[in-house]
Amino acid sequence: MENLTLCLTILITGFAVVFSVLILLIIIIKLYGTIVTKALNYADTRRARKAISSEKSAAPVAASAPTNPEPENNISHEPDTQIVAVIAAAVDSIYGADNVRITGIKKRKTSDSRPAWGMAGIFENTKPF
Amino acid sequence: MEILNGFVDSVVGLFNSSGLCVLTWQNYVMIGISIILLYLAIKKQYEPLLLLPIAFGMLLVNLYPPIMAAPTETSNGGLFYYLYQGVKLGIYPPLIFLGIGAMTDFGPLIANPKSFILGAAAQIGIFITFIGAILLGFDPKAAGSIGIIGGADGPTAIFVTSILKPEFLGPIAVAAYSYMALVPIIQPPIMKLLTTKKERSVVMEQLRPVSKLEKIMFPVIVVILVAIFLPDAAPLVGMLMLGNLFKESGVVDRICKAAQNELMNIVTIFLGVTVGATATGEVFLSLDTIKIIALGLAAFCVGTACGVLFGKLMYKFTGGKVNPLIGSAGVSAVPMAARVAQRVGQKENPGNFLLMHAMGPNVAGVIGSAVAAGVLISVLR
Repeated sequence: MENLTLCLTILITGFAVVFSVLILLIIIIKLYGTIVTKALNYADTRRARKAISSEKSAAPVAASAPTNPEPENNISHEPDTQIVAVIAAAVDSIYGADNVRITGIKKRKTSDSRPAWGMAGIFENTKPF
Repeated sequence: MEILNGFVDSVVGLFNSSGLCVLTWQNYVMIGISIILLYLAIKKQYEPLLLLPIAFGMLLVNLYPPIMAAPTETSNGGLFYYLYQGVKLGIYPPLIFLGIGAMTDFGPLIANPKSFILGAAAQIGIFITFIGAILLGFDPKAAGSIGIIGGADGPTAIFVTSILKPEFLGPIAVAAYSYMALVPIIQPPIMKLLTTKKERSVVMEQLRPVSKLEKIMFPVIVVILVAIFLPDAAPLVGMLMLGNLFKESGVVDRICKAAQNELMNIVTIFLGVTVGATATGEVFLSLDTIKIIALGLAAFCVGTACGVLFGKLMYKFTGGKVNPLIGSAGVSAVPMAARVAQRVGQKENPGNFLLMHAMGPNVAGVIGSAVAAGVLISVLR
């Protein structure tokens, strides 16, 4: 009977303490994670705004030049002809085939969401494991 | 004639003090076991950093028992007796934790704090085994020391046993480290048994990047919380977090490297050989040891199963976003258990990379087992 009481005490205390301490840690980490991320984002935005305003005040003449600049993230989906030329040259040097012509360039659909280079990087990093 | 007698006496004296006369059959059995362990460490590479010094310590003490002898009026005591004080006084385990902390990236855990649940779930094996040990006739302190093997954390097992039941240090340490080395063999069948192919194939979303500030704050917050609520776990968790703060602060690079390499390696050698040296034939070859080894295996299996089952719960609650295999990594054994989750996951889907996701529960398991150790010490001491 004494042993049974001790077993139950250890079992319940163990479950309760381990889970409550770790759940408390989850809450705290989530909380400070949110706070830190927001604070860092806010700091970044402020820094960016400061940089823009200081640029404007330093070069007021330049402001009149391009009135409608291209957004940075507006990346063209057209293939870069220089890259295509480099890849074609590499293929030609490896396979050495004559009269090779590029007939079309299209994005390959893959079942995996990761790009090929990303996959190669992950393979490289996890190979030792 | 006198010279001849002296020569014969010397030879007889040498023979009487040699292993051929002094050693018992138990010593020879242990020598055989140590050679098998050396084979596993060198040929099979099962945790060689630990298993090799343990096996060699075991070999040496069974060949030359006085190496562990305590000092007397006429002798200074054996070399291992002094090195063993670091184990007996609970000095080595926190130092090992310092090194582990300096090598551990808590980023995956901070990015996905829910991993703590899996780290906690895998500790259930400790408490279930405690009950099993009581039912097999062990006293509560011994049962607590045996149960902690389920945490799959060698330093924690040694720390708890050195406080609760020092006489069981040898078998418990050997069992804990042996099972840690055998994680790749013990865990996969349990993981496969408890999960479906669909669950094992789940590809988890990429973890969010964690800022340096979050990583620096983490060890400070954890140590404050654990030391306040569970002071008995403070030496282990405190040193783990100190090591991690060395790493994340980035301002004590030299100290960090010393903790990761020199200190860690030196303490591992001392810990390994002296833990192995506790496994003398007379102590090790007993019914209690067999029971301890069986219970340790049960603890390990239950811990793994509970982690996977909680992983399945998370799989259900998140609508299939969590791969239950990462739950098995909650048993600590860093980073071996995470590697096993990665390998089992990749067998189902070669393009699946669970390693970083499994590192979350894995390091949560280290904290979880230290907390469980604190509970056992505070209740049973």
